[in-house]
Order: sequence, then C-alpha cells, then structure tokens
Amino acid sequence: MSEKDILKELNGIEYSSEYKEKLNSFNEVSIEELKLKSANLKSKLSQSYFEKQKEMVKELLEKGEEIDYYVKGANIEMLRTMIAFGRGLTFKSNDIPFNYSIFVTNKRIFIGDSNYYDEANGFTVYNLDEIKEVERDKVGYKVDREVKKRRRQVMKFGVSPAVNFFILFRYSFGFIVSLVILTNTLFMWYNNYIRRGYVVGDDGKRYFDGFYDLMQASDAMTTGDNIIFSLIAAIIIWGIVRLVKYLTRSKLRISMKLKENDYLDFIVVNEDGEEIAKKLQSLSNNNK
Amino acid sequence: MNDKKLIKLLKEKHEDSIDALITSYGKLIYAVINSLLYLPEEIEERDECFNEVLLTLWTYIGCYDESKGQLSNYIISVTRYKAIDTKRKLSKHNKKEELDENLQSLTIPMEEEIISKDNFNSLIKVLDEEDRKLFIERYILFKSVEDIAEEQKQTKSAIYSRLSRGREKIRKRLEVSGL
Repeated sequence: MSEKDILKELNGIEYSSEYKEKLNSFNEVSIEELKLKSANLKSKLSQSYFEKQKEMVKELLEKGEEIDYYVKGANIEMLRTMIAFGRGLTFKSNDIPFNYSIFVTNKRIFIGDSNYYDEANGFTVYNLDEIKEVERDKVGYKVDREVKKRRRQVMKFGVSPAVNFFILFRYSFGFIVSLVILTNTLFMWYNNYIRRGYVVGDDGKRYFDGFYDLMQASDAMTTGDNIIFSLIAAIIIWGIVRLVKYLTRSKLRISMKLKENDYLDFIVVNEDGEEIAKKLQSLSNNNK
Repeated sequence: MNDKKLIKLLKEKHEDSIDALITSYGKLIYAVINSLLYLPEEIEERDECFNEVLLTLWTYIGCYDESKGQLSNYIISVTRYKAIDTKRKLSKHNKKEELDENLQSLTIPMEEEIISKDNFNSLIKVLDEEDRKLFIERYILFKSVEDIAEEQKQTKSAIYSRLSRGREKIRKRLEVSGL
C-alpha cells in the first residue's frame, strides 16, 4: 500500500465536535506567522521538482550521452501576461509553462515545460544541430514597454464596456491624479508669479514687470498651496526613483530558434547565466 | 474561500493555492500538530511537519473524496497521519541513540513491528474495509478507543475485540508468509 493508498483510506474519518473544540485551545499562531513558516516551501518544491526533472532526463539519455549543463528560465511571455492581466485574473497554471528547465547534453537539448513550482509538464527534445539561432540581451525597461503595449491590447479586446472602463481606470488612475495636481499647480503658479508680476503703466496699460517676488509669493501661499507643493515634490522624487529603477533593472534574456519554426524566449534564472548563454550561442554558431 | 474553490486551486497547482490553504485551514493544521507534537524534542519539528502537511495536500489532493466527508475532517486526518509519523520517527531515532549510547542490543517488540508504517500499509490489506478504517484510526491516526467507540456508536469492548480479531488475522497472514 503506497502513500497515495493510505491517503485515500483517510477519507470518511469523522471527528467529534468536542475534539474540534479541544483543538481551539492549541490554536496559538496567526495566519501571517503560518505564511512565514511556509515561506521556504515554494523553493523546496521547486528544487525537488527540478531534481525530478533531472532524473527524468537521465533516464532518457542514450549510451555515451551526458548532461553538460542546465539552465532554468522564466517564460517571458507568461511574465508579460501576468503583469498585463494582473494576478487577480486566475488562469490554469498547468496549461501555460511558467518556467523552462533546459538540459544540454553532448548530443541533444531537452526543453522541459514546468508550472509555477517547476512541476514538469513534459520535454521536447532537439538534436544540437537543430539550434538555429541564440540571441541574448538584457531586459528590464524594454519588457515594461512591451507590457504597456499588451495593456492597450487588453483594453481593445476587453469583454465588455464595463470591463474596459475598469481596466482603463485602473491603469489611468495615476495619470488622472497627476493631471489634476498639474492643473492646480499651473493655476497657482499663474496666480502667484505671473498675474501678480503685471504692473499698470502711466498710460493705464498693463505691462509684465518680471516674475512676482518669490518671498512675497511664499508669504501669500496658503496651507493648501504648501500641501500641493509638498505633493509635487514627493511625486517628482518618486518619479526619479522609479526611473532609476527602470533603467538599472535588467535581466538576462535568451531567445532561441530551434528547427525552423520553434521559438523559446525566457529570462535566465541561473547565476552563471552569462556563461551558459555564451555556450548556447557557440552551439548555434557551429550550426551556421 | 469555499472548499470547492480551494480544491480546484490545489488540483490546478495554482500558485496561490498554498496561501489559500493556509488562510482557510492553516490554523486547524497547526492546532492538530501542536496537540500531538508536545514533547520538548518534538516542538522544533512542528514547522517541518506543517510544511510536510501542506506539501502532501498540495501533491495528493486528488486522493480526497468529497462524497465521503468534509474537507476539514480529511485535513485533520492527513495532519494527524503526518504528525504521528513525525512522532514515530523521532521516537525511533531517540531510542536508537539511547541504545547506541548504552551499547545494548536492539529488540523491537512484535506490536511495534506490526505498526511500523511500511509494514502496516501492506498488512492491513488483509482486513475488510471497515476494519481497515478502524486500524487506520487507531494505529495511523492514534485516536483513542473511547473516541472511536463514541464516533462509531459502539461500546469500547466491541472496538477492542474488533482490533484483536484484526491483529489475529494479520498474525495468521504473517505466519503463512513465513514471517
């Protein structure tokens, strides 16, 4: 009787309400603490599934064939989809590869699809001479730009006007708030610096006499004006921080063309990704 | 989240399924573990056991049969099974250490041999469904005879005699197999 059989036998076992009540007295941990306790479960699962995949590949090896190296990658298309649709939209993670586990032997390349936890869906096997092209680049800002493009597609093909409006609102909220603040600021600046900078000449006409004195302007500023100024300063700083993050964040991306029409596009997870990318590129160069 | 949705997430191996399982049943699972792993040397194994239960439910949720009872009962059973298993492993390990220290010869009593997990799984195959369930409740989930009797609306002595008859059946099977 296997573990699975025992687990099946555990169906239909009842517990009295007294027992369940008694359990409450052992209940001393919060949900948050429990989530922390299970924090390393994902990496454990991921590691154990990866090892299983490795074993599966080993069983498929031919005589004289050995695994040279492996690379783990996150499916870039899935990452984009997740960002564009948001995590709120659930989808069957089993049907879409989250990750790739790629094992390169001295004869062939095994490409494994796996779900979020690296549980294998299956392998596609190619001979090394079937690797036609391997490109690598750094992604970060570029991906974000592509994600924005995807969002527009989502809006375009949204299921109903209400959903479209919701998505538009969700992604435009920051823009709307910024626009309101900017309009207010321009109005305030006009009032404090430009309108007050006009003087009436001897001929009775109004002339622009330079910007209104800054000190006088700040005296004239109300608490509301000060709040708006502080908000603008905060938004500018936040914008700069985001921009720096955008520009400095980059990950290694590998795009592979296999056979004539099979493509693989992923972000490398391995720490020795650069080295592996070079090895893969050398394989494709040999095939040219 | 209702049980149906949770089971669906677990079956789909959805990335949020473990969080959802913890939110719905984490406290119950941990309470069962706390109630069983209470000895000083067992306390530090609680978290490991908690993760083991989550992993088992995540991997084998297909073994749960909705028509046979509530998910909460099934989760209690799986947790008890894993916690007792942890308890047994620790006790074996500690006993072995003690014996090694005293340079004594290791002798395992028959009863303990019978209920050691690997043997148990194959031995209870000789029992009918009801007795198999009784043996699992008593020896895998370590339920007390009083509790079993109350839940099955039978007397304690009836439960004891069913257990005894079951053990006899197993003993005969062992003799036939030459063990």
